[in-house]
Amino acid sequence: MISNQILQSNIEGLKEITRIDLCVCDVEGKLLASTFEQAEEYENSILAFVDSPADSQVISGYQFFKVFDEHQLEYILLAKGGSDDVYMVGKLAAFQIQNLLVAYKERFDKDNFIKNLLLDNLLLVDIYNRAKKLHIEVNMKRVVFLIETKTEKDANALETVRSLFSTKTKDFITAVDEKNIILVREVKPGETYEDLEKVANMLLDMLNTEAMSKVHIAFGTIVNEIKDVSRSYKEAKMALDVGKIFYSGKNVVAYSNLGIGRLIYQLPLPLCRMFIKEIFDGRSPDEFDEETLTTINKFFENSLNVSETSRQLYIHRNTLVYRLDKLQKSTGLDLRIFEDAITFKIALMVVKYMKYMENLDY
Amino acid sequence: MAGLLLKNVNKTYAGGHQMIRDFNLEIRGKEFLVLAGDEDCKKTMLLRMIAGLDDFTSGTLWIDGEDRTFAEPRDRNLAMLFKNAVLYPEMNVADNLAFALKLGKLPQKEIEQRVGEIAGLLSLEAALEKKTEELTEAERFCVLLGRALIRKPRILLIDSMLAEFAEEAQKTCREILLRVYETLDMTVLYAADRRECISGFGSRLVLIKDGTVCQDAAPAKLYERPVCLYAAEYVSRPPLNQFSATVFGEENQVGLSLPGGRLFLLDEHGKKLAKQGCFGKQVLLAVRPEALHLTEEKRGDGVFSAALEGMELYKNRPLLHFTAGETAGTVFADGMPACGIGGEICLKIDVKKVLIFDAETGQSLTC
Repeated sequence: MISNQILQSNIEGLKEITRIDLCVCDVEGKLLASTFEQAEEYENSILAFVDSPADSQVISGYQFFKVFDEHQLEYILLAKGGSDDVYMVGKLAAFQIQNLLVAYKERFDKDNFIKNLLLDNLLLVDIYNRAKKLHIEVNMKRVVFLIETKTEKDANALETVRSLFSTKTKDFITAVDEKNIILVREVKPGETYEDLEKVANMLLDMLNTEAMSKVHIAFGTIVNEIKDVSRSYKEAKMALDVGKIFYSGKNVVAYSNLGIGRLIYQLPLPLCRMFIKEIFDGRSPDEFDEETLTTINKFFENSLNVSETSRQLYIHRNTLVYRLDKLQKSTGLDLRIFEDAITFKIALMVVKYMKYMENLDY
Repeated sequence: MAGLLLKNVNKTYAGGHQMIRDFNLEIRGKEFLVLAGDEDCKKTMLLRMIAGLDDFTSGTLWIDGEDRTFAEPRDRNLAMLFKNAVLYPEMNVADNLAFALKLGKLPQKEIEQRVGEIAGLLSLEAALEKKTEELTEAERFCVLLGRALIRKPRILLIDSMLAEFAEEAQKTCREILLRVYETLDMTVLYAADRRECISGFGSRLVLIKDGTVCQDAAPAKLYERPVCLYAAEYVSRPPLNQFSATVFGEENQVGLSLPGGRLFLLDEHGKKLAKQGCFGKQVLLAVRPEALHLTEEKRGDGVFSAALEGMELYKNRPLLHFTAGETAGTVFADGMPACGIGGEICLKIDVKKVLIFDAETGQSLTC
């Protein structure tokens, strides 16, 4: 449960204070951490001690102690020396390691609980029971942030997020796969979605500059009860997907701010295919060349203004008109007319969505 | 110090929106370069692309003679200071500074040494044990800066870090940044927000317009010889006074006819206009408030009358507001003129300090 590194740093710290050598072994006599070098020689003594009923014993000038985790023997601690002082230090060290076991277990349990909560693996009654046992408040405003890293197992990103949030016990940080970090954050009184957007931007900048990680961040809606946290997570996941399809330039996407993208994302693919066939009559917008697509997008950006569009494209006004006429001939849609422009814009978005979903299947 | 070369860089979003257009920039050796202009996130985008956080659509990036167009951020030997960055709560200054080095698993001794060096450089020795809530605005900036510098970057990218600071703190932090730049072997790219006063900041100003370089020069040169109206307006505070005018030629002299007067130009300006065939052309005459002054003359070369609309104090100097035809402008004065608000004043243009732009394209005709 506790890493050897943590055991080592603990006994080194204790040795620095008490000047007493210590070592920790598992119940099979295997050395886990030590402040002195001859520790391996005591394997047989340890095995014998494990089998004995005693909680502590003096063997060959060393004091042996048993460290339990809820009645289960976990470690054997050795302290060098036979005096009463050494005994006291040994007892203290054993007590400390025991408490560490409890704390880490609780942390692991919390992490485990949050993971299962997010993935909807818990019954409602279990959610409330376990939350109570782990001292997690059930009626508190929370929101889920989802951070997708470009590289897998980005330890730097995880460490950065932990350093920004997890020292407060009210926030939780976990991961359900190798590229996604999940932050379940308390929403403070008076905090709005605008404030949450600022938090997301802060996370983005910190991950970019400190962890040097490329990330995309999305967040769901604010929920008031712990049972709804998984909903906020699902929303954040959807926001991330919708952002990738329709708002590829944005690194931070809020579920509450998805616009038409969210509507289109819910459409069944067969319906989309019907729509595209109706608008483009079998021809895919992919078949439009880059020049045409750039022209169309620039035209939309400039609110269907021919003069401004032609200026920004560095082409003559007549050239633009010619391109729009050509488009009208092939699609039947005159982009200078508002209705046709909307239809075309939505069709382009539907095509993007279809392409994304089809690529997912592979 | 590092050389940086951006060649024909373009960035277009999937929707076709072009953010960066044919961008070229070369930095040789140690420079403090200020990026200014274009308010809609283009400067931020450019910094992110240099840092490797966003991809180019086309173009290349070279750092120290090596192609780093596709290199990961951590392989570019640079550090960033972005405006939303914060200090780690619950950690003291020393731990904040050491964080990135701990992530990089550097030996403890080396971490302590570097923290000590940075603390010395930024005068943070006394603050090392302080928690983040106890720091002043300037100290916080120093810690953020220290966190970037502790990586020993060759290039430091800063995005509008000081824009939100109070004026006094801005000034202090700018001095600290410049002092650090003088001391270290490092190139700095600072993207300045419009709200920041950038006069005298940095040895080179790159002004961006429509996603490409509009003018790239030392700040003084940009001030005196802007290549276009946008550049002239960007560095002028108070704003430029702008007059519609028509170019005319008379007895080997070239002049501008203004509503309510005329102005004969300096030989060098006149020759340039003549060479470009500008006679009869509509132009924009731009005059900074300090290039105008009140005069007793009622008429004459470069003299025109205006209605006095009001007065304000601009950095402790009286600044008069006037209207002359379609132009609403300002001029520095010693105090309120005798005629009072609503009265008529006469102003004279200092012809040595005028700027002339094409009324249609905004390009300079004389620089």
